[in-house]
Amino acid sequence: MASAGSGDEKAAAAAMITLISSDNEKFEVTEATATLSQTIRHMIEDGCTDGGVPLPNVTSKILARVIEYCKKHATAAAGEEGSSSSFSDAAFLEVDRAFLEELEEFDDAFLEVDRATLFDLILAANYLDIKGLLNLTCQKVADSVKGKTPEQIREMYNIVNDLTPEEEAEIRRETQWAFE
Amino acid sequence: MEVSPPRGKSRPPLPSASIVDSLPPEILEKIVSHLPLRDAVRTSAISRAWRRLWESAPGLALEWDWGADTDPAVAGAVLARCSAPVRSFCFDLLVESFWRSDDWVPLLAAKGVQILKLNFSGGAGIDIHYMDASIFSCRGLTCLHLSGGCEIPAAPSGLAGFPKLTCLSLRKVGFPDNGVRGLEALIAESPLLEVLRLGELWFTQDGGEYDHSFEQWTIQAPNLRILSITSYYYYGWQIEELPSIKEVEITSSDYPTGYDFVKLITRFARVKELSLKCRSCRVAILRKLK
Repeated sequence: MASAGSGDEKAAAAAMITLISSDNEKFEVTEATATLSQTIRHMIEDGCTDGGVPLPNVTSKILARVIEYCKKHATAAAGEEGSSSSFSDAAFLEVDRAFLEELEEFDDAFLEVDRATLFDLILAANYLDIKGLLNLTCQKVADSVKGKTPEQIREMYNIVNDLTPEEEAEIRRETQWAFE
Repeated sequence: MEVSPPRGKSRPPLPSASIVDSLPPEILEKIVSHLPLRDAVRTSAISRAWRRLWESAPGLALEWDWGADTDPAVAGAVLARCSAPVRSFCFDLLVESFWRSDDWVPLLAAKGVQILKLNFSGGAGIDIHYMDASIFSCRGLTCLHLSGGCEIPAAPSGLAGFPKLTCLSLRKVGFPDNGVRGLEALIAESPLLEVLRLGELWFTQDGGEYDHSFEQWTIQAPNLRILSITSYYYYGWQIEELPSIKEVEITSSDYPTGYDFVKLITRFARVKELSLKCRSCRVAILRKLK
């Protein structure tokens, strides 16, 4: 991960940040991993990470998963930066492709969680402002409702239908093409 | 759990044990924005909380299959209801509804559309659609695909290209107002362009006749990786430095006498895949290359 760059950059990459979960567990991560979270990036920029970063909205179980994601993707980001200067080099492109495939496999495996965990991950990604993770997890939920009828979605996620029959009929009438 | 019976109109939404309802509305919007359009719109019938979510889902893809004969009024109604930025808009128009694009494009410009694909099916002769100049107001475009039979008007001053455009595909498209200069500026002022596909274009020089003797113009695109030109007529394209070019396919038959193919080919020295098809002058090129 400590790829090309000046001495200062290397020092920054090696700097460690302590994240503290809601149940008071401490996680030591590199700055490169932590700054995938825009929320934490801003805290580092404001110089308020001494003594650790309390994350009262994230449990240790979820934070451990989030860090796992960030570690993997921080390596990917470092890899991209390293190879951009040699864009024309076919060998580097091959490496990039293999790495992207590996990353996709990682993401797929990462999403193999129960629904409650998936929703906790969404909330954590939203709170920590980790764009990639938020997209990934929202896509997973979207995929689960794709091609389903409103009845099936309600049943799947235990959603109460509070629309009156008239309201529901109106919705179906005004966007009939979507229900055909 | 079974769905409970519908409630009376005046009652507010009940607190529910649903796991999805524990998510804030902006996340539900985000989930909806990841759905294909039909699925996104169908979520409006789930419950009250979901009823208008798709309208405010940021970055929704408004895409209708080509050749599906969709009623353009449907696309207009969807567009009118979307209050958030729109990621993409793809529609296949028939001749009698070409005019609708003049209503859509300004709305799409205001909603920051990134991907715009419009097909003017079977546009020919008097049925070619002269597009609204608001196309140049779509400053967020990353991908623009026009085809079928439309004309691009002269750009408003200072708006000839698109700052974020990476992919430009024009097939059966005309430049009636400013000819090859309009196309040249469109390409040159879209500095991030990576993919350029041109097919069966036409130009009017000096606002008069469509003719086939063209001024020379230059494709300037520092980030261009893929270039494809398909045209019976050679319309004056010149290629200078394309430092990022990887794939080239040029099919044309009617090059002017004395066209310098050697110069053209040397421009593509670093290209991985090169395909030049030219019926009338194959022998001449080979002789010169030797």
